Parts: sequence; structure tokens; C-alpha cells
Amino acid sequence: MIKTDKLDKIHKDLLKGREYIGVHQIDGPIIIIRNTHQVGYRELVECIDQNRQVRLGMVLDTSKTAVAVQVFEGTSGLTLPGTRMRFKGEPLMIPVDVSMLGRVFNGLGNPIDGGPPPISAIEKDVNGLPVNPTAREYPRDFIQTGISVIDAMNTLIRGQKLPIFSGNGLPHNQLAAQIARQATLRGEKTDFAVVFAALGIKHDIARYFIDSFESSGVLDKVALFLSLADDPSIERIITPRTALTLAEHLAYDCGKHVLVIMTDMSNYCESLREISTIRGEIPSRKGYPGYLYSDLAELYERSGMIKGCSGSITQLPILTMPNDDISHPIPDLTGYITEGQIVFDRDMNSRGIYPPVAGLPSLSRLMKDGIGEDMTRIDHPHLASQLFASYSYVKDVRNLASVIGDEELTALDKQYMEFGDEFERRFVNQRNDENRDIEESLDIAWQCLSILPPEELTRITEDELDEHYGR
Amino acid sequence: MEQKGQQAVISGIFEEAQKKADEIVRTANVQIDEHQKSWSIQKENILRDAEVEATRRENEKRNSIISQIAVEKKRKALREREALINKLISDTRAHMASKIDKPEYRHILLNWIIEAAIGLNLSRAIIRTSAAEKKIINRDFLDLVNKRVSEIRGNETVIKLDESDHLSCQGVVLNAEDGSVAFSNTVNDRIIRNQSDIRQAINKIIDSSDN
Repeated sequence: MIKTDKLDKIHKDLLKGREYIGVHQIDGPIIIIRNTHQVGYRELVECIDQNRQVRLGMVLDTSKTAVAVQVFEGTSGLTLPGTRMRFKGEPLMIPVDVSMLGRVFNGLGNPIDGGPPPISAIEKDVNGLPVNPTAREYPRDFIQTGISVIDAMNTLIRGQKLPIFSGNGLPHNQLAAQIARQATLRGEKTDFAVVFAALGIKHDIARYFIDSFESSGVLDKVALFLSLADDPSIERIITPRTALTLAEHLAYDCGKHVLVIMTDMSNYCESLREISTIRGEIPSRKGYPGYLYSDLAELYERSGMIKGCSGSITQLPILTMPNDDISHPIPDLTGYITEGQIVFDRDMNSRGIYPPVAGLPSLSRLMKDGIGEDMTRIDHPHLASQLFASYSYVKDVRNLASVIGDEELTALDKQYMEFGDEFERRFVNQRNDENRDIEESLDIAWQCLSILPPEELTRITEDELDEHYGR
Repeated sequence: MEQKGQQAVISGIFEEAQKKADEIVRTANVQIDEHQKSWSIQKENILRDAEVEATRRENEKRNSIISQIAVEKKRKALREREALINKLISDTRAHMASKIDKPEYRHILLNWIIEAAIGLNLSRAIIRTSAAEKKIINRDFLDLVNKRVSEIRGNETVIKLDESDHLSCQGVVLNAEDGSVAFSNTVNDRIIRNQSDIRQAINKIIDSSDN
């Protein structure tokens, strides 16, 4: 007789081949199956239909008698007696390799570009591994996006997670594509890659990104994971995870600087809500599950820099705020996790300003450590602070003018009004193919501020005023 | 006197008309010059914008072509490798099919059945297999299977052959008596189950031969 522990191991390996014939219940994307062996949470499941076609799923819940499985590719066409289930004894793993750049995959990491499956000796768990907090490197390297309002006022730092809070019909995709095209580390030729995860977006938007990557000559450095609007919504739950798994390999094993664009995270949260409702969980705010925060954190925290690794992951998640409501649970919880946000303003967009980045609610929490002497320019921190302060006063003056009329404003307030218009027209507004370097952006900001009398510029030093004011 | 006066008036009018005409011509010339200058500036601007736009489009197109070539090159290499892998797998299938009549196949089949029986971990199971392989599974073979599986499991196990129908593919499938669980050890399923390991092994060999 073989020793028990050895038999246990053999038995465990062989459980992967065991097929359970017939399931107890099919409810939307969830399948309930009874009398299985002991399975683990998030274990990968192969769901085989009557034509022996395999769909992948994941164990959501287990008890002594039943297992709930979430099928990523939907359950349409499955029957209770004809469905077979195979538990793989491990979580969903995807092969990861540099050769995956330049290719298009579905949400589960299977190629949909007509090419063969990726070839790799390494397979990684899509759920990722938690990064030891002490192993993290504090992000400090300034990324020049070529967009004035971001570079000067909401600076993107390598390894940062900076979401774009947008709304339906606003040009967030253009901005994300422009950042992907133009982002560069000053004075350094970096080995970069872009991982793009499409979550429930339409074909034309996916096409827009592909064309944009193609025309900027970086398509062979981009891996696309597409779970489009017509794909099963449940696939969206796994798509950001597969994308981030590849990003982690490229960054931490291959030393690349990876920019991860995930759009639209609101669709991801909708899928999460759908599953939660089907599972009968107690809903939290607006029907989203109570674990929305930790689930989002699980994704957003898979970014940054690790000591000893030359690569990094910078995340640019895009989410559309329902009804432009920044207090909606999705932007609200995202804001708690990420290191700032770029907020879009519908009013600025309607006035033809691109990018319509709202100056005041937008911020980059890591900005202070990546700007200034030796990084951007010595006057940058004070200038950014002054821009925020002056533009904030412009908002007050505009409110006042809407009540009492422009004519009743003081001479100084009129100057502020002029500064506000010039700031939006010259500094914020730029073409979507315009790539301004940081010096140019800061110079434009100085030209705008020079409309105001120097005594109003209280956040700027005398030396800086002497050097830049009115030049 | 009166005639002189009239002539003076006429010549005055004429002079004035002449002056006016000269002025109109001069103004017209100035305007023509200005228009010409402005048109020439406009022309230069249009040409410059067109040049900028043309350069932008040219760069865009060039980048797009370079990037498409790079992507296509990569895809072609991957497709070639994939074709090689598929060929090797299909050769393996053919090789396994050719083994059915060989004496050593009995041992292979025995191992597949034992593996499936341990995977199922049931005290009673039924073997389904192809017509050709059924010929190998006789009384002695089944006794050996039952003995080995009982030894490994540490429990009495009874495995029978399903005589009623046979599989269309090579290999075996073990079913629970109530049909609730199965373990497929057909060649196809074994290849699919171990696809990742097989592909990795083949790739390793290809990589080492490339180097």
C-alpha cells in the first residue's frame, strides 16, 4: 500500500481530471453544484457543455454540501443534466511573456487576434500576490505627459495610480490615449510597455485606442485585454486581473515601465454589483456590495515600484461618474485608494476646452515629491500652488459676477476674471496632439499669472517673481 | 471774361477729377498691394500648415507601418511555432493510435485505468473504452486492475467493463455506477489536460535548438 501522504498528493493531482456530471442549479452566471470534493475559494473550474466545449469559471462560495461557481463566459446553452464540471485545484493562471506585447486577448487572456496562444514557461495566478509594504519603493520620478494642466498642476509620478473621473461623452479616452502616446521620463530612454484593459466598452472605443497606439508607433509595445460591451458582463470581473498579471510580469520580472490603462472601471463595478445581487448578498450603498472598497483596492494596489526591481507599474484607471456625481460610491471609494485624481468638468468641455480638467477637484498626492529643483524646475511647486490659489479665487469672482454683473466688479476682480479666461484658454486648453514640455507649460502659467498684479502672487518668492513675472 | 471763367471752372473740375482719379488708382494700388501681401501671407500660412499636417500624417503613417510590421513579424514567428507544436501533438496522437496493437500498450492502458480509478476514489466504477481497446481488457486484466487499485486505495475496489457501448476515441473513461462522476483518460482529454506542460516542454526544446 502507498503511504497516505503520497496517496493524498497523487489523489489531489488527479482530482483535476474528475468530472462531475450534472449540476443542481443555474442562476445567471452562477452555477450551484452539490456533492463535490473539497474545493477552494477562487479555484478555477472548467465547465463543459454537451458539445464538450469548455468555459472557464471560478469558485465563489463553498459549503459542506454545495459549491457556487461563477462562469466567466456566461451560462447560455448549458443544461442542468448535461453540464459537467471539473475543478482544477488551482486559481486561474495565465502564461505571461514579453511576446504578449503587440497582441490582443479576451478578458481571460485567450488570444482573439487570430494568433496562437501565448508561449511561456511562466504561468501566474491572476489574483496576484500582495506586495510587502516594506518592499515598496516610494515613487518620485516625474512623468512628463506633455499636457500642461497635468504636468504643472497634477503631476503624474512613475508608479502612481492616478484615475480619471469623467462622465459620459467627455473626452477621457482621448486624454488617456494622449498620455499613453506622450508620457516620457525626461532625459531618459525608458523601456516601456502599455497594458490596456477594456471593461465593457464599445468596439469603436477599443478601435480608437488601437488606432492611436498604431499611429504613434507603439502597437508592438501594447498588450490589449478586451472585454467589450457585448461580452458576458461577468468576464469583466477577471479582465483587470489578467491585465495586471501581465503588467506585473513585465514590470517586476522584465524591468519594463508599464502604464496600465483600465477603462471603464464603472462597468467593472456594475458587474460586481450584478454578481453580488445574484448571490443574494446584503447590498451596501446604491446596491453595490459592501466589499467594493476592498475589491477595488485589490486592483489599484497592484501598482508601484518594488525595491530591487527596475520596472514599475503606473495605473491610469478611467471611470465615468454616473450623473457626474463625484460622491457616487465608485469615484468616492476609488478616491480613497488612489493617489489623487483627474476630474473632468462638463461645463469646460461644452466651452470647447480640451482637456476639460477641472482645476480645483483634481489633484496628485505624489506631486510634491516629484517636482522642483533637479526634477522639474525650482519654481514649479510655488507656481502650482499659486495657480490653485488664484484659480480658486477666480471661481469665487465668477460666482459673484453671476449675481451682481461684471460691471460691478472691482478692477482687481476684473483682472482675476481675465486671468481665469486666459488660464483656461491658453494653459488648460491644448490640441490633443500637442506635446508641451514642462518648461513650456510653466512659462505659459507664468504668462497667465502675469495678468495679476505681483502683490497678489503671495505664494511665490521674490526671486521667482523677478525671474519669471511678466517675461 | 465769362468764357475764361467757365474754362477755369472746367479745368478746376477736371483737375479735381484727375486728382480724385489718381487717388482712387493710388488707393486701389495700395489695396492691391495689401491684398497681395495678405494673400501671400495666407498662402504661406496655408502652405506651412499643410506641410505640418503632411509631416504629421507622414509620421503617423510611417509609425503605423513600422508598428504593424513589428507586430506581424512577431505574429508570424508565433504562428510558425504554433504550427510546429500542433504538428508534434498530432504526430503524438498518431503514434499513440499506432500503439494499440503493440504488446506494451497493455501496460499503458493499465496505468490509465488505475490513474482514473484513484482520481475517482470510488469503490465501484465502470470502464468505457473503444472497441479496439476492449479486446485488451479481459478477465485477467480486470483482476489486475482491481488488485492494484484496492492496494493503492487501501479499500476493496470493483471495476467492471461496460460491454454495452464503446467510445469513438482512444483511451478510457471511468464512470461512477450512478453516472454522477467520471474521469476521462482518453488521449484527447489527456492532451488537453496537460496542454500547458506539453507546450512548455516543446517550447523549451525549440528554444534550446534555436540557441
